[in-house]
Amino acid sequence: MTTRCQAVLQEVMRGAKELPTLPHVIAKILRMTTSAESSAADISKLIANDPALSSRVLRLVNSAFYGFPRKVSNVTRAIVLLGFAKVRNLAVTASVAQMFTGLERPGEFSFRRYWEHAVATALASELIAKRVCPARADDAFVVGLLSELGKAMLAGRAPDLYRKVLAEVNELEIPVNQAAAQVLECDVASLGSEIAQYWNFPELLVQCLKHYRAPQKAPPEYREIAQCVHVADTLAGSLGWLGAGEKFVADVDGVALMELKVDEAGLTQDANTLLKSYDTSAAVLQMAA
Amino acid sequence: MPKIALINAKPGMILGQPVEDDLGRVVLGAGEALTDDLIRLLLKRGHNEIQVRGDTRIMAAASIAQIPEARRREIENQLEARFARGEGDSNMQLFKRVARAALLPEAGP
Repeated sequence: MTTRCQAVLQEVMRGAKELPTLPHVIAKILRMTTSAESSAADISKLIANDPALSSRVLRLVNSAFYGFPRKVSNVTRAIVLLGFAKVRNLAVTASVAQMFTGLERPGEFSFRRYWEHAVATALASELIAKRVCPARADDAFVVGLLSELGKAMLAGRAPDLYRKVLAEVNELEIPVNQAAAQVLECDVASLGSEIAQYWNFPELLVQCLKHYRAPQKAPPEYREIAQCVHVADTLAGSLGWLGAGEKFVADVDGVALMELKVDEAGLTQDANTLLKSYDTSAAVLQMAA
Repeated sequence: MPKIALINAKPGMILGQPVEDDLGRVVLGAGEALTDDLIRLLLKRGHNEIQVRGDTRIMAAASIAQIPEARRREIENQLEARFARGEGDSNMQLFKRVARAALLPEAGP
């Protein structure tokens, strides 16, 4: 990392410890749900310690989306009904939405657009992973949801720097990630990865956030998920959910398509499913915020 | 009577067979007309397939025709604009075809 890039990271992270409960609680939840030794009771205890978070999780579980016949009144029951990974994803989604709502800066960074892209990319990542590596589909959802963490943090916490990056995007008609690398010597994907590391997120997120734009560089054990999110980012953009600040659909890596064995028929099916499920899912995810 | 994937169901299609839950209880009876809300509800409850009356190709074409011409042009223009950078790239053209087929079904791949 260059000195300039380190300075950018410091500016973004200055005061970041005062952010809402997200990093601490979520880092723990993310670690617990990947550990075989954690029980539903351990995780529900952790979520229950954050009243705002547990009420959002219960509101989601009791929504018409899941259609359970009886009211689910505690988080342990929710985990039994939905599974660890789904409750983890709900908790992460609820916390991320809450954290970024306060970062809205009209004219420069559209939280709404960021959020729509995040939800579409998360759903698309899950759909693609379900075919390629079904056991890791829930992980792919979380990586997709947080894929633009670096961009959102830069826009929210260092708006002057983000403005300079956007000026470069508009002048040269290049992606935000490339413009940030040119202006700040620090691309937004690496920035997101550094933030994830600072918050003690699992290695899966640290590595995938860093490499999902160029997934061939990801360590072998994370490569498949990074590739799924990479393709999902392009698919979401193709259907109109472009990332915040972006003018064009993100370039796709042909090797990722080949290695994932993604073909036109499969992509078309995923695109149709995404269009059908997005409205319902986005409404549900928004409710968590 | 054609069996179709629920994700391809369109509002206005008529159920040919009742939809039942895992315990055999009827969720929706034969002859019910599908709406967006009903399709969403069935998807949420984990149903994948339904049987409908009539020719699904005709019904699909009828639902495509519901997109007004002005809106179709707008979708087409937005699609061209966001793919303006990937014109010489065959993989990006693949995604453009996928997006067009999903957003404007009759244009096809």
